[in-house]
Amino acid sequence: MTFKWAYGWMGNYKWRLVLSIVLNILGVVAMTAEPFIFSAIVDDVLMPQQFDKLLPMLCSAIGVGCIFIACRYFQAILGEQAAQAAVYNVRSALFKNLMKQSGGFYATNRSGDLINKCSSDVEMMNHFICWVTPKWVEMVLMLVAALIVFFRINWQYTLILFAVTPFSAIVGAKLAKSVRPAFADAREQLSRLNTVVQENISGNRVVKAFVREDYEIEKFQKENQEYKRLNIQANMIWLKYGPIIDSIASVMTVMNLIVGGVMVVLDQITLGDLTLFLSLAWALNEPMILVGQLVNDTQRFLASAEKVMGLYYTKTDIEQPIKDSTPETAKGEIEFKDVSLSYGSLKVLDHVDLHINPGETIGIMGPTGSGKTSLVSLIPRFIDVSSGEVMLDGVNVKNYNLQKLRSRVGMTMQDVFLFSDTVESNIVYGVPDLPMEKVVEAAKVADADGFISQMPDGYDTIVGERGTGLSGGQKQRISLARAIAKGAPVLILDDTTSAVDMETETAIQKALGELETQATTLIIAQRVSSVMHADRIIILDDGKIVEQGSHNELMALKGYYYNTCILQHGVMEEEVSA
Amino acid sequence: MARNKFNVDEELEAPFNWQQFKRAFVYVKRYKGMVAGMFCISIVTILLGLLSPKIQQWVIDRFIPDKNIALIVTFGVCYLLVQIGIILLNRFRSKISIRVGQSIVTDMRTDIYEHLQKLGFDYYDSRPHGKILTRVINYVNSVADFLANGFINAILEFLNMFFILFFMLATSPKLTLVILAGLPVFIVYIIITKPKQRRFRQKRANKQSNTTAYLAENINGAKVTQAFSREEMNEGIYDGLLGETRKYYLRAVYLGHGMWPMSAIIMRGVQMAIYLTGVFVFIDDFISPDGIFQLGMITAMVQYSNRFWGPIQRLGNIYNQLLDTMAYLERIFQVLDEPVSVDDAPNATDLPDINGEVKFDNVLFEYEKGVPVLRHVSFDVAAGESIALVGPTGAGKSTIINLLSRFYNVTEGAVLIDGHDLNDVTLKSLRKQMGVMLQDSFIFSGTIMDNIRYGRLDATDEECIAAAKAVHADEFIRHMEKGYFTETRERGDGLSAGQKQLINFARTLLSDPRILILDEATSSIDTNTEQLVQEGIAALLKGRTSFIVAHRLSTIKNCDRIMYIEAGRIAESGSHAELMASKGLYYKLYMSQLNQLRDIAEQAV
Repeated sequence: MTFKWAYGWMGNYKWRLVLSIVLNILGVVAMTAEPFIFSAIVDDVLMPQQFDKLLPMLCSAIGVGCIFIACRYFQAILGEQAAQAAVYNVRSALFKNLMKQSGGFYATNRSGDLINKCSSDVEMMNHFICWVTPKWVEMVLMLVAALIVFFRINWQYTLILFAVTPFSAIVGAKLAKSVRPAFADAREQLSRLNTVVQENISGNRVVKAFVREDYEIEKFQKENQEYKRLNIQANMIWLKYGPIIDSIASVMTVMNLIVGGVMVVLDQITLGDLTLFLSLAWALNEPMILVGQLVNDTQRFLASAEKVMGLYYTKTDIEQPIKDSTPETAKGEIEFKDVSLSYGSLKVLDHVDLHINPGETIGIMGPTGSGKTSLVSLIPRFIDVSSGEVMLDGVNVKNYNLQKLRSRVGMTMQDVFLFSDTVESNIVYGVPDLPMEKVVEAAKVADADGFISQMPDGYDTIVGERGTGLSGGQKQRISLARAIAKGAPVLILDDTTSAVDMETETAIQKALGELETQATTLIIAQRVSSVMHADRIIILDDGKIVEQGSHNELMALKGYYYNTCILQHGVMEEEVSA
Repeated sequence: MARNKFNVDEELEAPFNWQQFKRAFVYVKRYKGMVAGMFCISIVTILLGLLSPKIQQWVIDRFIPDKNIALIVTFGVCYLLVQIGIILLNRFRSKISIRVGQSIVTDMRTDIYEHLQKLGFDYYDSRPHGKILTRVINYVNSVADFLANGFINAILEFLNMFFILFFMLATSPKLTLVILAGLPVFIVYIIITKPKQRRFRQKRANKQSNTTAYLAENINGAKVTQAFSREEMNEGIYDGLLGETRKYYLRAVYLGHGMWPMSAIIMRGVQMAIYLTGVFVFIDDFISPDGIFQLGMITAMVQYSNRFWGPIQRLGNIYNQLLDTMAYLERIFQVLDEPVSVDDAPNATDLPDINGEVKFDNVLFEYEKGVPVLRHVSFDVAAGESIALVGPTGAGKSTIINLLSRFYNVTEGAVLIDGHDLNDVTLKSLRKQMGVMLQDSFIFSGTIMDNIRYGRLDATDEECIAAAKAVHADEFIRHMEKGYFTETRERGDGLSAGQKQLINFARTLLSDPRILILDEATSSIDTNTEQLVQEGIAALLKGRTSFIVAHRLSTIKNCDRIMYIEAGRIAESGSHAELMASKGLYYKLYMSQLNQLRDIAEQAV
């Protein structure tokens, strides 16, 4: 199963692997033929001292040798090409699958683990296809070939020699059984180590701020040492069985010498036969020794391939609909119909009903953890409702083609993620062929043009991963420009201006209002100033809409909104009245 | 600012350099006892290994013609014993070598990791994190085997060559010369292909690291990619990177695999020459006085020649491995050589317990040369004073804060705390007394309790909970499925930004700092909670110096002093009342908010 799956990835390159194996067989034949010629040289040329035949025979020996070498070389190259094709295709497919996965997947899978699966675990496939596979074929063929040759010369002799092979098989089977879990453990530990290092790298600011370098080193050492231990342990298993297999192989050689010698003495075979036997001994020995290594590597491959397959077959919980019912035109009308959402036993949204008209601006406020982000995440289907329906332009979002749905929603996220690329590339992330004027325009709306132009390389400045090196407000504004540049009919701003000063915020709001096409806009914020100009403000508390209305209406209500307003502006209000 | 992104190779200027092996050797040296042991074992194995053809030769040349079955069996058994001896010795050597290899890797990884802890923000900010990760994990793994075994094997193979040479000379000096004649051809081949080999292998390492970096970033940013429906394009980019990796992998492989055929051909040429010269040139040496052709001798020579070329072929493989290791070692040492931009001065002393007096003395700071972020900033802060920093984004507020903890070094001027120049004190003693709440509240995987305890490792559960209560995080934490022992995931996925900030807050509080720095620390916390949080810490702040960057003027107004930062300068400084009276930038800012409020008030009427 696993093998078929792995080989399947070669596509048309499988013929290269086949050719590689054919060359391998040819190579084995050539390699087997070589000693024959040398044995003939001994028996027919050297012993009778008929040296005139030497040169032609040597030439044929060399010719066969060259065929052998050429076979080996091209076999290796073709094998590598086939394996690389498989590796390429698997990695590409894994990446595609990763791109489909929802937030739930990323929350439950350590990124270090995912990276390992895509890199080093796939690497094991490479080794398996281009090295282990041909070696298995070669090993079996070598044994068969040697067997035939030996049998033809003297079958009694051969039977005695082969009496030891079953022992090798038994040890090999034992090795196979115990080695896989050991390697699986080591790989698991590698991914743990990976995660510790990755967290340390991305959390380096926190580590430094709390002077936790020593603690981090200690934490790392624990995993590092454990990885060392497990690695040694996995390798030791091989050392337990390998020598037994090797010893069995050398018993065979010795029997060759003793039995052969005795038979020559008893005149049952010629001295030339014995030379042939001895020079063919490797054809028996090598496979016997190789079997351990091959079993070992095959088990390692299986341990890795299982992980890779697991990732490849991971289904996403946000699936494309069977039928794409995406409406032709996008207006931006949103409706939540009796929407509930829960994570396990935790209820996040509780029977929410909300209708939003095209072009309307909605402000969303509420205590920390009240479900604001969850609510808006339902629109581009980052999460799916537990019950109820979310409609965009009259069609349930679940019936949209996912990409088309998401292309109609521009979004900024709380946790701003920028790619380590130029500012421009980040802004055009959703619309790669956007002309430069439009980029600048979007940046201007987000009030980001000013600081971007001031940077030494302007829009070509490379920002660090997650936008490190930029201030929080700068990151937020680039992320806003990115969402605006997309020009989608629905715009969701999740806590987008929390790190931006109020003046800038006002400017941004003004610019957003002046955009030609008015997108339906949802603004999540904690500051009253961010939402007060919205057409409608809703207050979420504990997954329910508790207040809804315009600024004035909510002020009159004297509820959460009013209190927040007083708290934020209370000090000033005193002055207004003063 | 960053200089490297996923599709840019990190070029190395350093030429092929044996110096690096000297450095790598330092790691090997730590296990010199074990390595010496491996070496001795190997010598014995090689000597034993050389016995085998001799035994065979005796059996074939003497005992079989003599028809001495007893001796054939005895020597056969001897042969087996020798073989088993070799196997056991090899096993013993492998046991040591696995230990040594793994130890070297573990040590090297520790060194890189420890060095990474010393590197400043600028290092992490200037390259994709996936590239750093690749070096710590994958590259280090790749050099293990070579460092543990490569050196010894190379020496052994050389010795092996010389042993065989010795035996060959003992058997037939003339044929030995024939065998040696093939050597120069091989050496020429290596010299010709070396530069290309090295280049392809370096490229391959680079492309690998680019691919991993891109993958890592896409895993972390998957949600953004989906939000912008960029999956297909990124898949295309990734495929492109994979293609590049494959291209250089194969190029390196074509050349690398060329080594063996080359030596195999030469080996066969030599074999042919042995027969030819043995028969036509040195025939007298091979005919015994009674006219019998001495077959054993010539087969022994052929065997020796194969054995002589064996080490050469293996040296070729070691050489390939060496080139790979080289490419990886270069990257590893590049990290280790990365200068620590912020480090303890050689004569640095521990900062004693501080009162919290802060002085900026004519501070100039630039991240990039010629682009000043702070332009000659000077100010004094008395112990216990609370300072608000306001001003447009990117004006330099965060920079001032970063300099306080010496996350960066000032370009000119000095920052002093209680009169101690920060450049003269140890980083640990300084940062231990500072409580910094960063804009990005990073959550580690573990439990919420672990994350709070990060502020003070020896804090009890009760103390952690008390801190959480003080910042009013207790309520939402208790709400979660497993309360304080709820597992947090990488970067706190599943927690809202406000919740992360609260945990971060509790963490900072627990560390009980002398100077507290809040950089947009509460921007995503709802106002009610924020109000409670501030009440909670107000008492705690008493007597401690604090710096606050915030945009809510209500927060700012209560500070003892407000500094308005603009374009890297302190444009205004003073209490709220003073600044309002001077009718400058702060006044303008405040009034604009006030006007907004008036609007609200009017609308409400």
